[in-house]
Amino acid sequence: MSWFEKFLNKVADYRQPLRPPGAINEKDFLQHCIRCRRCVEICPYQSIKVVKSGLGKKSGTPVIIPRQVPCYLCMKCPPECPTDALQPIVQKEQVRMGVAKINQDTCLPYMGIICRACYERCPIYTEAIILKDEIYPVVVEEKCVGCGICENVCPNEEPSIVVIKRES
Amino acid sequence: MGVTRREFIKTTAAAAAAASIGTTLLPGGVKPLFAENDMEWHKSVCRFCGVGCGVLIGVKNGKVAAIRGDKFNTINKGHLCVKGFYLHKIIYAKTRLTHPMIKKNGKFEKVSWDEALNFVAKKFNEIRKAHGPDALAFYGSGQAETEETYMANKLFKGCIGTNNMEGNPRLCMASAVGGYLTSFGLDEPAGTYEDIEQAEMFMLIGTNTAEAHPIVFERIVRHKMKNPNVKILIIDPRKTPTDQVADLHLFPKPGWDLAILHAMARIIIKEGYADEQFIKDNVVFKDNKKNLTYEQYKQFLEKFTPEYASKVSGVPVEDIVKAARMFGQAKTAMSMWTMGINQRTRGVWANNLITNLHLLTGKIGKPGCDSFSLTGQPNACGGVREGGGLCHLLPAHRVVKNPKHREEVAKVWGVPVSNIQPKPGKHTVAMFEALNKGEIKGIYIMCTNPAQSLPNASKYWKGLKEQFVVVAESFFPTATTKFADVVLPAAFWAEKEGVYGCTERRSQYMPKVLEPMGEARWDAFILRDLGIRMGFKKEFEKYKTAEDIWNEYISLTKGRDLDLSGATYRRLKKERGLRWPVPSEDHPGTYKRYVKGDPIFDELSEEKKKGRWIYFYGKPEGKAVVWARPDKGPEEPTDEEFPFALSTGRVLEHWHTLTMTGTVPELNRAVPKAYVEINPEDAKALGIANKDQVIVETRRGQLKIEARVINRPKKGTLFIPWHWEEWMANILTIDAFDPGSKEPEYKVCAARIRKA
Amino acid sequence: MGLKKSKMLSLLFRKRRLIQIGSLIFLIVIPLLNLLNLEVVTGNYYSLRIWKIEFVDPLFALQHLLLTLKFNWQLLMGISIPLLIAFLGGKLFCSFICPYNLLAEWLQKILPAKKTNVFKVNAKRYWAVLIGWIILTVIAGFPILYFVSMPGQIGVFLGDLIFLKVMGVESLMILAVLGIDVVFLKRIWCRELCPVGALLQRFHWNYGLKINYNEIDCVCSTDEIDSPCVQRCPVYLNPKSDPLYPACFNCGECVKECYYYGEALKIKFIKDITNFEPNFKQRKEEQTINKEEA
Ligand code: SF4
Ligand code: SF4
Ligand code: SF4
Ligand code: SF4
Ligand code: SF4
Repeated sequence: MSWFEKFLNKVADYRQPLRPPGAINEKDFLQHCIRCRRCVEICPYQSIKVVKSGLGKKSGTPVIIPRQVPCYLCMKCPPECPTDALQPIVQKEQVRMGVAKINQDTCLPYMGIICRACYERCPIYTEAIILKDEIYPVVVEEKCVGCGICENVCPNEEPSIVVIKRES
Repeated sequence: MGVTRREFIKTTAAAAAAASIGTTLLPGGVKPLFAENDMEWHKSVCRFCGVGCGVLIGVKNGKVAAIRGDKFNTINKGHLCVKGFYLHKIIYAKTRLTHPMIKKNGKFEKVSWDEALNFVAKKFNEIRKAHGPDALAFYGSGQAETEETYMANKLFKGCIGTNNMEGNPRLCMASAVGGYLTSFGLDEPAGTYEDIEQAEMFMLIGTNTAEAHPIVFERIVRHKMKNPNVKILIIDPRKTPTDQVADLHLFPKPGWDLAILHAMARIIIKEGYADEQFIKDNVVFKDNKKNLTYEQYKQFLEKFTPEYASKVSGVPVEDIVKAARMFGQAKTAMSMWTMGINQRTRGVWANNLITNLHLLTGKIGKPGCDSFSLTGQPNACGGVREGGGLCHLLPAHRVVKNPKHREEVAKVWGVPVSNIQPKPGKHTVAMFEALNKGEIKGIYIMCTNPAQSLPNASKYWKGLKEQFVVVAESFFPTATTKFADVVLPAAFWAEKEGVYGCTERRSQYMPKVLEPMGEARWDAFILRDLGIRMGFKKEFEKYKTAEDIWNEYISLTKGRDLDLSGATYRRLKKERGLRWPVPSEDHPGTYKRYVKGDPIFDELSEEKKKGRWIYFYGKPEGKAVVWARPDKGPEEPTDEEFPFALSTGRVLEHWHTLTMTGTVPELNRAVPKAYVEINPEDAKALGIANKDQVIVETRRGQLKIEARVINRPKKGTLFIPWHWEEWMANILTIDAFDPGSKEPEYKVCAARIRKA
Repeated sequence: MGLKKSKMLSLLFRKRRLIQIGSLIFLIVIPLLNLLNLEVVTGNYYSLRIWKIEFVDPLFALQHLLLTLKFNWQLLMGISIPLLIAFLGGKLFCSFICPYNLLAEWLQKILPAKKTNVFKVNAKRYWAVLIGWIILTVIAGFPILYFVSMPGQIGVFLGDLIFLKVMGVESLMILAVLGIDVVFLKRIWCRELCPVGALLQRFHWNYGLKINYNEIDCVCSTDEIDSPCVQRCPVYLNPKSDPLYPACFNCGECVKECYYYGEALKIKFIKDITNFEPNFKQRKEEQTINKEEA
C-alpha cells in the first residue's frame, strides 16, 4: 500500500460511519443529532470521535472508529444525548451499531495461524463470535452488537474482521 | 458468518459507496499473506514456547521478511500461533541491544567488547580469589540453546568450580523433573505428540493449553473434531479458553487438587478399572518413607472418598466420580499438565499422583497413552534438563553427586575432576536470596529476566542492585538490565545456529540466516571468550563453531538414556528434528520409551525383561512407582484478611516478560495491557465494574490494575496475566517453594482486591 | 426591594466582561473535566448539561422540530431556561455568554475606535432573516445552522481540540465570520444575521429588560454619531433611537457610558424604550442655564 493510500485511510474512514450505541438509522440520525458532542465527552474511553471532514452533512457527528478505539459498551452515551438521535438502551446486548464481517482470505486461523484475539475479547463472549471446529472464528450476525472490539484487537496488519454499519 | 473475499469486497464496497465521507479503500483482501515468491526459506524452530513448532524463515534482500509454518514438521504441520507468525518483527525491534555497555556512575556507557569482557573477567577473578568460587553464580534460561547452556555449564561447574549454575527452568519444569524421576526413575515423558491422535481421552490438569501451548491444543481439537467420542477432562480452577472443548471441567480451589487425584485413583481401583496384571508386573508402591504393598496402598486411599475430596477441593462429588470413570473407561488416555501442577509447593507430589492414574490403569507405554508434561520454554528440556543446566545436574541427565558422572564429564571437559564440586549449588530462590545476603557477589545472567520473573520479585532487587551483575541479552532495557553493571549484546534467534529440544524429546536444529545486529555476538562465544580471559584458555580455545560444541555434548550423551549421538548437525540440518534416544546416525529416533522400539529397551537382556512388554529401566527391576503422597494444600491458603486465591498465567498473544512480543505492535494491539480477571459475582459484591482500576494486594505487595469482570475465574479467585513490567504480577506472588524440586508456588497465593 | 433589584442588575452589568471571560473559560474546562472522566458537565452551547440540569440552544430545538416533526420532551426541558432568560432579557445570551461576541468585542478594541455611522433598526428585516435560516434548514435536510452558530462552533472547536486533539475546516468559519463581520461589516452578524440571536429575540417580553432613554437627562450632543453612548455601542446602534429592538442585545455598555454624563440611559423592565418629554428643547436650555449659573 502506498503511503498515499495509507494517508487517505488515516484521514478518512472507508465505511459508513459507525454511530454510538443506540443510534437511530443513518438518515434520521443526521436530522436528529445536533452535533453537540455530549456523547463524545461522556465516553470514558474516548471511543467516540467526531467527523471532521469539511462542511458536509456528517460534519460534527459522532463516529466510532474501531481500529482506534472501539466501544466498550458501558452505555453511558445513550442517556447523555439530548435528542433522540441516540435511543436510551440499557442492555449492551441490545446494541446494534453494526455487524462484524470476517475476511476469510486474511484471517489468521484460516491461514493456519492460531489466533483467537477477536473471539476472546468479544463482549458478547462466545455468542457473537463462535469458533467453527473450535478453530475458525465465525460471526453470528444476530448476536453481534457491532462494538468493534474485535476489529480493534485483530493482530493482523490490516484487520481481518471489520465492523460494517447495519443497514436498517 | 464469514464471507469470502468477493462477498467481503461487495459488502464493504456497498457500504463505502453509500458513505459520503472518505475513500473506498478496503482493509485486507488485497494483500495475500504469503505471496512473496522471491524469498529464500530456511527451516528453523519457533523461538517461543516448548511446543517446538517448525518454522520457515523467509529471507529477502538480506532481511528476514516473513515467517511461515513448516509443513513438513510433524509437530505443527505448517501451522503456527500468532506469536510465531510475528517472529520476524522481533528481530528488528527497536529495543535490540547492539553494543556492550558498562554502568559508570549509574549510567550505561558504550564500550568495546574487549573492555567489557576484560572488565567482567577481572571482576569475576577478583571475586573468586577473595571469596571463593561459590561467590560467583550463573543464571541461565530454557530459551538458551543447548550449546550455550553447555558452555556456561563448563565455565562455571567445570572451570570456575562452583555449582551455582542455575536456569529459569527451575521456575517452571523442576517439579516435572522431580515427578518423572521419582515415578519412572528417568526424566522426560515416555510418549510424544504422536499419542495425541491416538488418545481416546485427555486429562488436562493445571494447563491452559489453548493459550500456553496453542499448537498442542490445536492438535487435540482437530483430533476431537474428527472423533467426537474423544473425551476431554479439565481440572483447573479457572475457566480458561481451553475449557471450550471440555466434556467435564472440575474447578478445584487453587492448590487443593491432590485429594481429587487420590479420590480418582480410589474409584478406579474400587470400580475395577485398574489393570491388575500391569500393576503386578510393572509397579511398586511407596509412601514418603517406605515401600508399601498394594493392599497398604489401597488402605491409604481409603481416606480419599469422593466426599472427602469434594470437601477439600470444593468440587461436587458426582463430578469427581464422573472424572474417575471417564479416565477408567477410556481405552487410551493422555494426561497433560504444566504450570498449574508444577508451580506448587507440592508440585512433585502432584506430578506423581497424575502418573499414578496411568500406572494403575496401565495407560502408559501404549499408543495414545502417556503422562505428558508440557514444557513452557523452547529449550527447557533440551538445554537445561538434558544439558544439565541446574545446580545439581551435569550434562546428559547426570548429577553432580555421582562421582562417576563427575569423572565422565570432567574428562570430556578437560578439567580436573576435583574442579566439579560434589555438592549441589544454590537453587534459584536460594541463589537470589544469597545475592541479597551478599554470599554471592557476582552473577552472570543469560537470556532471561529474573527481576521480573522471580516470585516475590521486589524482594530480590536488593541483591541485584548491590552485587556485580552481568546481563547478556538481546534486548535493552529489561527489568533486569536496570540492575546490571555490564550488559552484553547477544545475537538473537536466526542470527546464530544451535539446537532446541522441545517437550517431546525432539532436538531440532536452527540455522543462522543473518549476521547478528550491531556488535551482538553469540552467547556461547561470549562465554568462551570470557572463559579464555578468565584464564581457561586451554579449555575454551578449541571451540571454533557451534558444531564443535554440539559434537562434544552429544559425545557425552552416548550410552545415556537420552542418547543423542546419532543426532549430528549433518542429520539435524536435513531432518525435522530427532527424538532421543538416537544412538546412531542411522537410527530414526524413538517414538516411545520403555517399550519395543526404544533402543535401550531393545538392548535389555531377555532375562531382565522376563517377557515383559514394558520395562522402566530407570528403576530397579524396571518397576515404576505409585506414590502414596499425603494431600496438602497451598502454602498460603486464603483467610479472612486475604480472601481471594490469586493465580497468574499467560495469554496467547504474549510471552514471558514481553521483551520479545512487547515489541510487536500487532501483538500489543491484541492485548495491550494487564488486567485482573474477577468473577462477576465477586465484582458485584465489591462494587467493581468492568475496566475499573482496582488494587490487588497480597502480603508481599500491591498492584494497581484494570479489572476485567468475566465469568472465568471461579468465585473467590483472581487471575492476572504476568507479562507486563508495568503491572508486574510477580510483586504479588509467593516465593515459597517445593522442598523437593525447589520450584516456587507461583500459582497460588492469598490476595485481596478493592476498587482504587 | 426595587432598590435591591436595580443594584443587582447594575452589578451584573458592571461585571459583564468577567462573565464573558468566565463563559469562554468554561468551554475550556468542560473538555478538561471530561478528560478526567468527571462527568459533572458535558457539552457546549449547542447543548449543555451541568450536573442534572439540561440546557439546549432553542435554535437547535427548533431545527430538530422542523426536521423531525417530533416533539422531544428532553429538548423542551432543555430550552426552558434559555427561553426564560430570553423572555426577560432578550438576547442576554449574546451579550453575556456568547464567546463569539467576546472575541468580536476584543477585536473591535484593536481596530480604529471612531465610529462614522450607525444603523437604523428595521424590525421586518429580522423576520426575513429568521425565516431565511429556517427555509435553509428545511431545504438542507439536516441541522445546517450548526455551521453558522458561532457560540456552538467555538465551543466544539475548543472541545474537539482539547478532548480529541483534532481540528476541522469548519472551524475556519469562525475566523471568516469574525474577520469579515468585525472589519468590514460593522458587526452586522450579531446585530442582524446570527440565527441564534434572531430566534432568541423573538421571545423578548414586551415588559422585559430594555434600554430606556430619558431625553430630559441627556446632556450630550444631539448628533447621532458623536454621543459617547453611540460611540460605545458594540453593534453600531444609536441607543437614543427608537426602535432599538430586536437589534440591541442588552449589553448595557451605553448605560455604563452614560453614567458619567447625564444618566439618561437606564436598563430596566419597561415597555417603552424611550421617554420623550414634549419640552425637550426647553429642558435642554434650562440645563445650559443652570450650568452657566454654576
Ligand atoms: S457505550 Fe460507553 S464506551 Fe461505548 S461509545 Fe458509549 S460511552 Fe463510549
Ligand atoms: S449527544 Fe446526541 S445530539 Fe449530541 S452529538 Fe451525540 S448524538 Fe448528536
Ligand atoms: S463480533 Fe465484534 S463487533 Fe460484534 S459484538 Fe463481538 S466484538 Fe463486538
Ligand atoms: S483477531 Fe483477526 S486474525 Fe485473529 S481470528 Fe479474529 S479476525 Fe482472524
Ligand atoms: S505454539 Fe509455541 S512453538 Fe508453536 S508457534 Fe506458537 S509459540 Fe511458537
